[in-house]
Amino acid sequence: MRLIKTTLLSLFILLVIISSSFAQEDIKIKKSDYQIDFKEVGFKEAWKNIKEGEKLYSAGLGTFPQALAHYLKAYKYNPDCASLNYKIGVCYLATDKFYYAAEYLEKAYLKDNNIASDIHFMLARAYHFNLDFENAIEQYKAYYSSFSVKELEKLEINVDNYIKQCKYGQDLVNNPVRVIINNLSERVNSEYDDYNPVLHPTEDIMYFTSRRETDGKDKRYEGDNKYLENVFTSEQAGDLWKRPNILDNKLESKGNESVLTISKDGNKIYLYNGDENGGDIMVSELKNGSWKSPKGISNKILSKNKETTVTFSPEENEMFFVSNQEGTIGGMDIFYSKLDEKEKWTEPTNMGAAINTIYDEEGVYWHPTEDKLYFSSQGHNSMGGFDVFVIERDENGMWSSPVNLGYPINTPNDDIFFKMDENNKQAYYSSVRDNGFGGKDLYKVIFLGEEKELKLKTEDIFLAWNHKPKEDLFYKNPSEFKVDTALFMVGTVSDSKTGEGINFAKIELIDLEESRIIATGLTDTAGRYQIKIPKKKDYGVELTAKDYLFFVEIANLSQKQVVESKVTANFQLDKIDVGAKMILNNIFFETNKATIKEESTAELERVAKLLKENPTIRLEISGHTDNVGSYRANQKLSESRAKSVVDYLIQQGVAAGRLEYKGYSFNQPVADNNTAEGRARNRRVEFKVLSK
Amino acid sequence: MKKLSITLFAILLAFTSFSQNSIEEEIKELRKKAKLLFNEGVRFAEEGDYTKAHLKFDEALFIYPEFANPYLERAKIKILNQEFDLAMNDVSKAIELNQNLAEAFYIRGYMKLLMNDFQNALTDFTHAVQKGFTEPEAYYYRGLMNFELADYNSALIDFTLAIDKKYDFAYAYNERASSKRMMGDYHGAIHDYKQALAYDSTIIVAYDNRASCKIKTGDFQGAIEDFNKAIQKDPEFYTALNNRGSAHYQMANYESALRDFEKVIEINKDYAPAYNNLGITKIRMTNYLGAEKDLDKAIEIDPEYGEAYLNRGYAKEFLGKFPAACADWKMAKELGIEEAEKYMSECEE
Repeated sequence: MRLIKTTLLSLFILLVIISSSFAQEDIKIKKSDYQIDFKEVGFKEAWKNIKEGEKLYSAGLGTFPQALAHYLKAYKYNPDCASLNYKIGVCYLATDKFYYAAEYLEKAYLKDNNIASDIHFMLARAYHFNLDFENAIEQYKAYYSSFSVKELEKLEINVDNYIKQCKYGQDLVNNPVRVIINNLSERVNSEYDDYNPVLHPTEDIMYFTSRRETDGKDKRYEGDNKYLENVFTSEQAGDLWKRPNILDNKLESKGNESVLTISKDGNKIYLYNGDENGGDIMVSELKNGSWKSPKGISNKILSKNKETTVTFSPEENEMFFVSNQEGTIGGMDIFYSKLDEKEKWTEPTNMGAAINTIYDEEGVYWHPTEDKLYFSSQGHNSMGGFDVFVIERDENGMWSSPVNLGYPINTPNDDIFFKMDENNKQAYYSSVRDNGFGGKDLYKVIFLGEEKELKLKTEDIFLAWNHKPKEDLFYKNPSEFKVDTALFMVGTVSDSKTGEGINFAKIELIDLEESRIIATGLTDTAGRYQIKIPKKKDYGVELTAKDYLFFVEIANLSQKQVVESKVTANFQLDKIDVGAKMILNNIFFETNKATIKEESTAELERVAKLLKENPTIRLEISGHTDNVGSYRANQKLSESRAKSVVDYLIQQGVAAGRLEYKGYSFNQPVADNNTAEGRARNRRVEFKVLSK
Repeated sequence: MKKLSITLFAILLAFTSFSQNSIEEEIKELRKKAKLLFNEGVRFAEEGDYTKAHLKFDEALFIYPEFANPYLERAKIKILNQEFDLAMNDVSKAIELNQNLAEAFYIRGYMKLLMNDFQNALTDFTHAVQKGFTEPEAYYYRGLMNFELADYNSALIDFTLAIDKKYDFAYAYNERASSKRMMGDYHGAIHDYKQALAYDSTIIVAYDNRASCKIKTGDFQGAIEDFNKAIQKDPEFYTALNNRGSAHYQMANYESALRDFEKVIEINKDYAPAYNNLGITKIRMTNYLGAEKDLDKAIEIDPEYGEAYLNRGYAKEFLGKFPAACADWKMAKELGIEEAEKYMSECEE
């Protein structure tokens, strides 16, 4: 087949990326990998599909959809073949069903980590297209790190730029713009690429470019094996666009072509002709109701290189066009020209690095009434592929920095040829989106007003009373208004230093005869408590509170007076501060030994609990004796006893580094050693807070 | 004079043997008898036998109709039997007979509370307290009335007085917390809700309320934990479910929010806020058609639901139904939603 020498209006992202990756490695599906042992049923037919798929895949992007159809048929026979999964994934990436790609590529990678040298790149692309930017970045990095330094120098793919795109994408997706994006429907769009919508000034006719099949004799472009570009027109009927027709033969070239813009009076049509001089902008005039043969726009504008899209100012005396002619910063750039006094176009000038990037810019469009220029770029803060940007000219003729039109107008795919209407209410453009009909499709963007608030509705039942049978709170037997015969222990728990009441101190009342807790109470914000007690007698009281040392004592209620059915007992707690000491009254040892008696367990557990609840404090455990016997013997005994306590606590899970022990013999008495009672008090274990 | 003749009539009916003694002596005797009957009634009431108690109070009043206390106690029994009109008659009679019967004011205040006559209930509770009925419940109910009348500061004082009288009055802690919350003291409220739960963990609304306060302080995770506790204790507590869904919504956990709102509707299919919230969650998930249907339902249940109109306008805007969206915003504006007026400026063309 003879291929015509022609160029496309625009090269798109998929073509560039898929082509580059193909150049690195050609994965073939091997029969030995595909055929399942002993499973002959269906293999012959499936393998036939594999072979067909491989042929179409090798032919290029244009036949990927057909290759995919064969691969999917073959997939039914063996869904676990790594190379088949890889190829299905790559084919999906090249279609508007890109969101299926990740599933197959992940499976391919799972089955064979080395399935292809670019597997990480393909996975990255799949995640990138699906807006899964975090995973995409991870895969881009994995791809990058799979190369040696030398290989990286030759690498055509700019991985860093993709990572940047993902980061921009995260920002853009998190701050979506308020638009509705409607596909122009399958009446207008085809299963092939449809792009570059251009509205006639009357706004009832739309011109667009399509690479669809027309008469069965269509030729394919050698670069991507897709059909050549043709111009189509569609007429508006109400809110809908009618089925398109191919444009008048007189305006058609042999190769690729596209309508670029139409003059305000409708008498001039500007076209792209891929056959001319590397790709040129042509103009045709309407005379006596028919279009004349197109001619080059101007010798000053055109070059041996490629000139693609063009747009004019509202007064039609200034022009922007896109070209890779001399003076480009990189790839396709935007150039500017204006009419001089002789009504001739001036030498074009590059718009400069603030607008043009080392990547391609394309699809320039001047707002119908305002000094705004819309264009697409693969650079700036694009989230992938071509994104649409806008710049605005101020009163001094200075153009602003490009502003990304945002998600969801822009996507990681190509979003291009954006045409805003004069009221800024709606626009047409081409994009690859998940509700498309194949390849690029034409879309209408409707701009919504400012962000609006959504009103959430919560309801609380503020009053507990409203959520409860009323009489429970209300009804009191007459007798209840009389004197209550119940006995209460009441009082306060306060800070030993400040005297302030301690909130949420827990009081446990222990029946000493039965050795069990008979009542528990909590203090209120003022440190007050009230506990109902069965009778007036002595009880053990254990007090605990956050940030305070525990306290255990016998409450001698039997000695106290009952006033209005209440016995008062107040308590004070010491705050856990460095230097704070506490005598552990309830640790008992066998006589003259360091063996801890069983009845000490409760007290030791209280100390262990204190250490666990205050994980930063360190304690010194000290042993003390009375003055019976020699100093040395008592010193040894007191130290051994302190160590026994420490050993016990370590067994309970307290870190050894948090405990120190020391024996003080009889050097630190707390009572008179001349009485039996005093000596009993001096025989003791204490702890001191070393740090907190 | 009229009272005396009624009493004499009753005496004549009750005691046919009446003849020789002086009238005054007999009246004293009858009053003594009435008090004994009253005390019998009290004992029956203490034992929970309200039928017999009621009969004894009837008998006491039959022979001594000017005796205020049986009216009061009979009113309390009638409240328990939900005979509110009769109870109101009795308690009003008790007050008429004895202006110093403080508890009667308390009971009448309670009756008025049940009738949503908050202002008069407040007056009665205040009389009760002033006349010496200083039970914690009197302050508590007066606090409720102040709260209902949006005097949150007075409510807070009353609940504090109730707590002072009864340190473990869990309900008073919850209500005081809500008063603090209404005054913007979210941390204070959280503390009081915690106290309420420490004294009575069955007050599940306290979990729900504390969660809502935690949201106000930005502690969404803590809020979710509290909502979880409330729902765990009462799986049918649909307002808590709705609130948890709202917390998920605010945290942008739309899938979780969706599940909660759907669960609310399973429990109460007529709860319009859940449809509203489901609708806006679907909007966030860009399911505008689904959102429109849910908001239709919210409006069907409550045609005066301004927020739902506002939200439906949002969904319709994204569906390209601009005139319908504008109609919704117009309706929302008419129903008092201020934001709607601003949005309508986009509809003028």
